[in-house]
This record gives sequence, C-alpha cells and structure tokens, in this order.
Amino acid sequence: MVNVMKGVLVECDPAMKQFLLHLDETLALGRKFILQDLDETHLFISSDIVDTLQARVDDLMDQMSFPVHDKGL
Amino acid sequence: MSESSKSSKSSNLNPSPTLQCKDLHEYLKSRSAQFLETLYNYPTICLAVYRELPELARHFVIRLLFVEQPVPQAVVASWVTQTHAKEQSKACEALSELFVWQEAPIPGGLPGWMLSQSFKKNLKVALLGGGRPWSMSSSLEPDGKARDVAFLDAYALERWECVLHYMVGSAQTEGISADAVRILLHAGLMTRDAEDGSAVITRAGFQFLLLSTAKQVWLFLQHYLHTAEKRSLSAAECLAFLYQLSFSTLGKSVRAALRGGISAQQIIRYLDQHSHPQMLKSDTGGVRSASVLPPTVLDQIQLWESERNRFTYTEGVVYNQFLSQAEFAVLRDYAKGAGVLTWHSERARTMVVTRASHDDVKRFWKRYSKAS
Repeated sequence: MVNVMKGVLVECDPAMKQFLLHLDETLALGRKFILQDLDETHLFISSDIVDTLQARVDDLMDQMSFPVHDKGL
Repeated sequence: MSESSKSSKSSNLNPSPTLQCKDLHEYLKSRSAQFLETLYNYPTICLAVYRELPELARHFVIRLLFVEQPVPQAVVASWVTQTHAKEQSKACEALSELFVWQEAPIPGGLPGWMLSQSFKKNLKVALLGGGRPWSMSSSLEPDGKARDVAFLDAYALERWECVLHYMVGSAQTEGISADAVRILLHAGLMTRDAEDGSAVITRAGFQFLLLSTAKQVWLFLQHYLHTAEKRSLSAAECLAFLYQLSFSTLGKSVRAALRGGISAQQIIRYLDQHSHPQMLKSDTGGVRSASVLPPTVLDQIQLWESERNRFTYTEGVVYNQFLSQAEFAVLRDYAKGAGVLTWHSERARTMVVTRASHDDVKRFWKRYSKAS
C-alpha cells in the first residue's frame, strides 16, 4: 500500500519555512494548508492555497518586518 | 520675512523692489534666536538645517556634537588650513547666524564655541535615533481610501494651478479658500481694488508667477507661517510639521518599490544615476565595482528582492507510507530514472514527483504491485 497526495511542493529557506508553519498554526490564511512537513527547506501544501499565500505573504511579512519609512530617513 | 512683506506691501505706492524669495537659510536667519531655539526642539528641523549648512560647517557640527563643553575658537580655526580661510569664515558665519552654535567663554578667558543645547540634543536624535517617532503613520489605522503618489501629485498641481489662475484674475473663485486669498493679500501678491474691493494682482504678484513652482510654494508657505503666527498658531510647530511630512515621503521603501514591480536592478540603476558627485569620484579602495554604491547597500537591496522570491512552488504528488524500504527504493529509482523526482527522503520513505509525471508513475506502481 502506498498513500498518494496531490499538492504543491514549496522550497524556501529555513526561516521562511518557519514562517509558513506559523501561518498554518495560527490559521492566518483562514485554515490549515500544510499537507506534509518534509524537511528544513521543503513543505508540501494544498494547491488551492497558493494564490492566497502569494497574494498575502507580502502583507504578512510587512507586519513582521520593521517599518522602514517610520524611521524617517 | 517681515521685511519682505513690508516691502512688497509698499510696492503699490513705490516702484516695487524685486520680489524676495528667501531660501530656508535666509528665512531662518531673519528670525529671532528665541524662535530658532523653539524650532531646534524638533529633530526634523535640526536635520533639515544641518543638511543645508555649508559643507565645512557640517564638519564642525559633527566634530562638536559630542563635546559637552565650549571648544576654543582657535582650536576650531586650526581644523582648516589657511588656504581655505574664506570657506571657514563662511561656515562660522552660517553657524552663528542660525544659532547652531554660540560664543561661550572658556575658563581662562579664551573665546570658545558651543553648540546650542536643543540643536545638539535633537540633531543627535535625528542622526542616531531615539525620541518620539517622527511620523504619525504608525499610530494611524490603514487608510481604506489611500491615494497613490501620482494621484497626490496631480491633485497638488491642480490645486496650485487654481491659486495661480485666481491670481491672474480668472473669474472662477471655486477651489480657492478664504485663507489662501488672505495669504495672497498679506504677501502683497494681490491687493484689494480701491473701487470694488475685489482682489487684483500686484507687480510683485506678476514676478511671483514667473518663479518656479517650488519657489512659489515656499514663498507662499513663508507668508502662511507669518499669518499663522498672527493667529497665534506656533510657526515652529507648522514648520516642524512640514518637515515631518517631507521626511516621511523621503523615506524610500525598497520593499514597497519591489512590490510595485520594480526590480532591484532598476532601483540600483536609479541610485547610481542620482548619486552624489562625491560618490562618483570616490575611490572604492581598489575594488572596482560596476556600481558606485557601497557593496553593502547593493547586497541589501538584492537581499530584499530575493526575500520576496524566497519561495519556489512546484506542482507535485507526494508518495508516502510505503510498506517497506525496498518498495520505496523501487519507485524512487524509477522516478529518478525518468527525471521526475523533485524531492525524496530515505528515512521518511517519502517522495515527491512532478504533477505531469503522476499518471506515468502511477501506472508503473500498479504494474509493479501486481507483479510482486
């Protein structure tokens, strides 16, 4: 027997992988989307979340990054 | 400023003197020490004033910034060679005029220079950080109807055109506020007609029309500040607000640009083209680089870009829960041989193949399962 799952393989650096795990755990995209945690730099996720993820990853990263323009320089 | 408004007011009686358009330095110079002292409570203003200083004066400021006692004037003088005595006296004059520094006696009677307390304190904040945030954006909710830069530019230009049209006597008074009219009258750019009391343009007003837009706006603002003071608003606060705004828009967000579809390469090229002449001259320490920008800056901009392209997505199919290592190995080797294996782990007995190859891999697996 073997189990088969369709989806999307995501490759990224370890920090971004942790970021995706965080999004998954906190249901930041409205639901869980990680099908399998493969290794440090790979995740297998549902195909239908990819558009949402790509559209929102910038916003979500902005929320986490330091607002540069507020330094005023 | 007060002189200029007086002189342009009298222009209706006398041949008018040329319209005076003071730059920031000139404007500040004409203000009292007290006014400047209040202004220097704002880090934004300190930074703006610092940037407008002659180069040598900027060096002096930096050298004195962390000195907590008066420095003998002779010492300051010794920083510059005789050949540049002229630049030096100009720098000293600028610093004194703007009350950036003041004369302070040194124990023993020597004359010394000492940076103004508030200027020193707040320039440090501007350069090194600290203090309250300059912009208010962090405390604001995101604007649901935010306008883009192009829209704001067009809007500002249209508003300004309205003012100019009004000045040249266009009948339309729509879109110009009573405040704006008051400022035009106050500035002597327009005057009340003796007969019907309507506002008409003066000679100074005509000269005003010939100035560049930036000069027009600045002159207008100077008069606005003056009328603001008359209405007991704090001109210092108004000016600080203006600088706060201008520094807020200066802060160029590379990330925002990247999101807007501008590539790191384009940003770097832009910075290259608009870099300071000094940077074009500067020696990169023997390291020839394609860009005049410091390598650290280049790296960071490129990092920001790659940060955005941090994910690669490949449609695929996971195979896992193999019953034995041997079964896993068979399928993995088949997929590898066919060049469709995108990821695999021996230990987890899991593999990922491309989506396109799924039917083929599935067929192989069925054949294999039956045969075994």
